[in-house]
Amino acid sequence: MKYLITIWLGKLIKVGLKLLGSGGSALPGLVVNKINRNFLIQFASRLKHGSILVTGTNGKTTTVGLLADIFDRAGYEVVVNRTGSNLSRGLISEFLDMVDWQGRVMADLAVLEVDEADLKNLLFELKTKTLLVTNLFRDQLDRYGELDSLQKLILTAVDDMPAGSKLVLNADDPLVYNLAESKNKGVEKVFFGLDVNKSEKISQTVLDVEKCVKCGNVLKYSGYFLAHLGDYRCDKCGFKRPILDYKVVDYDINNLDRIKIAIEAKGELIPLLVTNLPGLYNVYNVAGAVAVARAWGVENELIFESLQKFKPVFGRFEKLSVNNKNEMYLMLSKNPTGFNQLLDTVLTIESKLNLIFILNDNYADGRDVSWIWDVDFEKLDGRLNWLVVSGLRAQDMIVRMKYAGIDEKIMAHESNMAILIDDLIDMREEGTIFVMASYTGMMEFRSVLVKKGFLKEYWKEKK
Amino acid sequence: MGDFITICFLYSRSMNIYGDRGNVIALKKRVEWRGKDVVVEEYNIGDQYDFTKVDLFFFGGGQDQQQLAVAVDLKHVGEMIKDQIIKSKAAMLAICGGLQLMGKYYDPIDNDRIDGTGLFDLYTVGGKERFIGNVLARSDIGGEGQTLVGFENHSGRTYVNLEKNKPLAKVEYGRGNNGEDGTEGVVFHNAVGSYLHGSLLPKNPWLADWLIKKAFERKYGTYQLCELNDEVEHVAHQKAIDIARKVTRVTNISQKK
Repeated sequence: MKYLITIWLGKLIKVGLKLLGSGGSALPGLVVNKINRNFLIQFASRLKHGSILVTGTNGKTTTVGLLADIFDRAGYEVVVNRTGSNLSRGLISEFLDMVDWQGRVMADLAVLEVDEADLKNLLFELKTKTLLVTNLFRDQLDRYGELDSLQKLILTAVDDMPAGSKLVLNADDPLVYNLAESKNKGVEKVFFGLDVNKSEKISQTVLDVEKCVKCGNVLKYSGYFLAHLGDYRCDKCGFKRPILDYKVVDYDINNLDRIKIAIEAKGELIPLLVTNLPGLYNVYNVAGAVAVARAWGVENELIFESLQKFKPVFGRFEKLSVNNKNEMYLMLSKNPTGFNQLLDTVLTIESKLNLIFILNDNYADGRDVSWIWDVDFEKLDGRLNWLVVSGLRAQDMIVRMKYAGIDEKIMAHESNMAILIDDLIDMREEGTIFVMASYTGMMEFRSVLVKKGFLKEYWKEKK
Repeated sequence: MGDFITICFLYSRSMNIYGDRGNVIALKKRVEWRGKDVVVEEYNIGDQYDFTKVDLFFFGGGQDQQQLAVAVDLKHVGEMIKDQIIKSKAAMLAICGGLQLMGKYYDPIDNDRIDGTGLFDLYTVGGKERFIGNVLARSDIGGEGQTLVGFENHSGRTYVNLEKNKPLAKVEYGRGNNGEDGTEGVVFHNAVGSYLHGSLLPKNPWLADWLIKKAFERKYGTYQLCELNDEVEHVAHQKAIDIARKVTRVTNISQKK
C-alpha cells in the first residue's frame, strides 16, 4: 500500500509541476524518497529483465541513449534516464512516468546512467543485470574526490554484483580494466576497446593515469588513443591491457555529423556503423553500447539500424538552427578530458571558429573552477573567429583565455543569456556556432532557447 | 637571450591535479609579457637533474598514492632543493600536497606517516572532514593586507611553527591550514606554501609577481619589474572575493538552523 501511495503522491507532484510549467525538477524524487526509501527496489523488482547501468566519467548519457534506442528496437519496453539526471532523485522521477496509477510498471528493462559515487547503493536496488563502465577521468574533485578512491569505491560495488550478471569494461582505461580484478567470480567480464593503427597524438598535456594501478611502476603505452586510454603494459608486474572481446578495428571521425566504425566481435566483423555523432570519444561510446547489446544477444541488424537513426542526447553535440543562416551545436563541457575532446573535434573543421563558453560553479557544475587550467585552450590560438564568454565564473574563463594567448579583440563577455541569444539571432555573418557549457550553464542557455522557440523542452522530447 | 629565469616544475607528471599547472602558465606568461625570457623545465621521479640552476620551483598537489612515490624520491633530492632555496635564495610555490611534502611530515588517518623535506617548519595530520570551498585571505608579504583568493580542497590539517615560519595569510572566509588558528599557507625565505587552487597565481597576480621578482633577484641582484595591465585578473579576483563572502555567509546561516 505504501508503494501505491508513494506513486500517487509522486505523480500528483509531477502533474502539478507540469501545470506550473516547470520540468525536470528533483522535487518528486525528493518527496518519494522521503516517504518511501524502498521505492526504487519495489519498482526495479517489477522489471522483468532488470536493469543495465552505465557509469564512468564521460559518455554515460550518450551511451545510455544509444542502448535505449537499441533495446527499444529489439522489442524491450525500456525505461531510461535520458536527461543526465543520474542521482537517485532523478531516477525516481523517471520511474514515476513508467508506472500507472495502479502501480503497474509499463516497462521490462531499465537502462540508466548512474553517478559513480551513487553506484554501490543503486547497483543493489536496481536489480542490475549488466554494468558498463566507460572511463575514469578527473572530474569535479570537490564532489567525487580523487580518482584512486573513486576506483576503489566502484570496485567494492562490483564485488557485490549478483552472480550471472555482466560487467562490461572499457579495457583501454587501466583504471577501468582493473575493476575486473574484483574477487567476484560469478560475474561475466566483457572487454571492449580500440585496436587501430592510427594512434592519435596525445591531445592532453595532463594525464590522469601514468602509474600501474597494481604496483605503482610507470605504465608503458604502445599507443595512446584518448588521454590515458590506450594500449598499456607494466614491465614490472605484468599488468596489461587484456584481449578485447569487442574491438574497434577501424574508424573515420572526420565529419561533425557522423562517425564510421568497424567492430570485430570474437572474430566476426560487424559492418560499418554510422551515427549522428562526432569525435573519437563517441567511437568509445558506440563500442561500449555494441558490446552490451551483443552480450544480450541483440541482432547486428537491429544495432545497425538504431545507430543510424540515433539523435544526439541533451547537450551532446545537439544541433539546431538559430536563424536561417546559422547552425548551432550545444556541447556539455564539464571536465578537462571532455573539453579537450570537444576542442579537438571542432578543430577538425577548416574555417575559423565561433565559440560560446559558459562556465558556472553551481553544485552540479562543481564548485571549483580550477579545472579550466587543465584544458589545452592554447590550441585555439589563431583558430578563432570570435568567442563570447558567459556564466557565473566568466571572469575566470576570460583570465584563462588571456593566458592561453587568445586575442582579446575577438573576445566578448555577455552575462545575460537572453541578450546573448538575441545577438546570435540578429547576426548577419554566416557560420556554425559551437556552445560549450558546464551543466547548469547548458540548462540555462537551453531554457532561453526554449522560451524563444528554437528548442522543445527536453522532457517533452521523450516518446 | 636577455635576462631570463629558470622555472622547475617539480613532479609535473605525478603532482598535477586541480589545475595547478595554471600557476606555471601564469609565471611563464608574466615573465614573457615583460619582454624577459623564461625556461620551464620539468623534474620527475628518478630524473638526473641539476637543481643549482633553478630560480623558481613549482610543486603542485597530487593524489595520495602518487604523493607516496614522490615522498620516496624526495629522500634523494629533497636536500638539494632545500639548499637551493635556503642557501641560494631560489623562490618556490608549493600548493596543497606540495606544501605538505615540503613540511616535516604528513600523518594520514588510515596510512603510515609520510616524511617531508622539512623546508617549512610545519607538520600535517589527517582530518575526517574535508575542507572544500572558496577562500578569501589577507596577506602581508607583498605589502599591506593584499587579498588572496582561491579554492581549498584538503583533509590534511597543517600546523605551522609560527616562531620559525610566517603564515602566508590570515583567513577571512574559509578554513585555511587547519580550520583552527586562522592561518593560510606558509612563508620561509622566498618559498611560499598554500592550500589554494584556482589556479592561485592567475587570479592573484601580485603573488605571481612577488615570486618572479624574487627569482630575478636571486640571479641578477636588485631587480625592478615593470607593471602589467591586470584589468581582467583584477575583475576575476574581485568576483572570487564576492563569491567567497557570499557562499560562506550562506553556509553559516544554514549551520545556525
